[in-house]
Amino acid sequence: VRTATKKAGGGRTNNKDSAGQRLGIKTSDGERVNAGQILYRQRGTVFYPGEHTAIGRDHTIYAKEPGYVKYYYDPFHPKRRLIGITFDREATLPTPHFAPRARRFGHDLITLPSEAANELNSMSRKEFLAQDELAHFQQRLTTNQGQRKQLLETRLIELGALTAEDRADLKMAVQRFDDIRNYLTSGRITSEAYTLASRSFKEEIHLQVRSGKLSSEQAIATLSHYTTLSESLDSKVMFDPRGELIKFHSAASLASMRPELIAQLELLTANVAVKDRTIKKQVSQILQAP
Amino acid sequence: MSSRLLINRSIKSVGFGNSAARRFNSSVSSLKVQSQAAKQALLQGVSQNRSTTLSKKASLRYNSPEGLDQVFPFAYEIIQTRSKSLYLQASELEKQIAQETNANQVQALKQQREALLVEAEINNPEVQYNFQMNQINMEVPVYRHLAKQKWSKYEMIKMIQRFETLHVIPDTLPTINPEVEVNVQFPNFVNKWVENGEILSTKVTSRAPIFKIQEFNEIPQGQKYTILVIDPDTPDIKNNSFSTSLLWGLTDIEVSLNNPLVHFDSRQLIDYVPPVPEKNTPTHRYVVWVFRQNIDSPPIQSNSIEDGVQRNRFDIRAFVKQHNLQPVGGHVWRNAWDRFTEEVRQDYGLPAGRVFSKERNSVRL
Repeated sequence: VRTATKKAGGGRTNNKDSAGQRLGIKTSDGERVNAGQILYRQRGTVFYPGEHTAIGRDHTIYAKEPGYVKYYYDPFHPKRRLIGITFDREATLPTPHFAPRARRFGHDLITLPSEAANELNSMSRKEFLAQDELAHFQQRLTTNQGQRKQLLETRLIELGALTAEDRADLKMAVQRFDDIRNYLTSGRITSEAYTLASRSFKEEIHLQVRSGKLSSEQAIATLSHYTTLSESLDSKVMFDPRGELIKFHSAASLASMRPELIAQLELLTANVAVKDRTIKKQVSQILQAP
Repeated sequence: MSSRLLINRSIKSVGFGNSAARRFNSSVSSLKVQSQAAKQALLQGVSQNRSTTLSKKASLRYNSPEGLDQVFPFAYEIIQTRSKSLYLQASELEKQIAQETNANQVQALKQQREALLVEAEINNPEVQYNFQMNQINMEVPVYRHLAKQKWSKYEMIKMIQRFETLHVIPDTLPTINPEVEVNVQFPNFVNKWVENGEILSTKVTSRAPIFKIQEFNEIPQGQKYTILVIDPDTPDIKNNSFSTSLLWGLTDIEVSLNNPLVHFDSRQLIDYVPPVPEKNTPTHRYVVWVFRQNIDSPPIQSNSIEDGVQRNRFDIRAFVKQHNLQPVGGHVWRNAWDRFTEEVRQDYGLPAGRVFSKERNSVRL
């Protein structure tokens, strides 16, 4: 048997390669593409994504918008070659740096009323599951608001600022003081709270005039009535530090009350070695004073 | 040993704080700390809390660093001497300014003088304390300087970044060189100044906001400002693109350094229309641009913006050019359609919003 036998010692070969991966251009300059279409396959960024394009995990550049492909340079990104999309065949890239971007809206208008209503009422699963809780909170909010306003009303009548017969005035006053208290509890200073409450009322009246629910004459009358009412009420009632309505004290009378309260405080806290609960209570009572 | 003796002798001779010649500018009360206790702690140090107990509370109480009490008077004296010489230089400049006729020279000299005044007080511990406690008077040059420095280091940069990231520039105006700090708040609903780029609920934005325009340089007499609130993301169905709409315009606004709040009754170019984004449109940006009005330009007439036409396809660049406005500051917030939007439309008597498809068409241009 004359078979060829050659005992070879560890030979190496460079004869290795894989199949070609078909990289490179997939859409040329000027071609019309749809969103999602791949423009260029590459290893690393031979080209960079320009306008209305994006780059995938293997550096594939693809279109984000329908339009016309453009290969270009941008002086803002030197030494880079870019691929972008324009919406006009004749348009050039890059868009001037200080010009507004070209944007496509892309959403279709739903004309059929039933479909539109469906889309409006559709909700995410999270929102759907939260409906019960939301309804509960809404109900609690309205009842609490109603209760607070009721309490304000009775308090106003108690303090003699208004009588139970002036229903319109009461409603206006309750709204105003509810607003002021909300502003105060959210951490605003007193003057801010009062000015903002007046401002918000004026805004509401203007809004009603604009949307046609109120005529201009009625509006002017309402606004002037509001101003006189608020001026008269501000001299009769005020808020204490806890947000309760109390009888009005002028700045002078408050200043005169201060020294005796401070004296009382000093008496109480003079010999405190032990934290006595009764003393604490008395001190906090004094600190609640307007 | 001998050096310690030297120091002790020097402390006695310094007569800490009683030499009028060495003092900082004591005539301006806003440069001094108001609280006597704080002033004492600041200038004489805190050492009464030194205790030998091991309790945690005791160790947490502040004490001046060891050895500072000996060194502080000398440092304070050096600062005061330097401050005095700077004030002398500033008063020399004032004489020059009084004699100078050339307007540009006067401007340059005034800037030099301001820089000297800032340098004179910037190392004053009372000034630094006041600034940290935000008990400042912006009419005083040193506080203005410190405030501008603080703003430029963080808030201004953040605002520019938000404007770039959200493409507010160049979609609305070409670029921004912020000179004033603009703050926006919707006081009817939330006691919080809106952060740039924050997404708000349409209920919160359903009533007109309030603005603050904080300048960091002296405001020239009679300087007026204009505010425009625009929405660059209004759908333009005809062109399958977006157009800008004008939500609110205020003009002839005057602010002061210490009261930056824009007055509630400023002159309106048009009424406030709230953000009412339509269902399935991309999140809308609402941009507040603040401009300095040119002193030579005539006041902007309200009827230059007709309701319906200019409000809906507003060309802000043309408007700015036409009225010679200089953009000096801005703010941006965002809104998307939510469950309150239709209610807000009803409140303002606006027609019901259109509804768009959730997905964007990927084929039609």
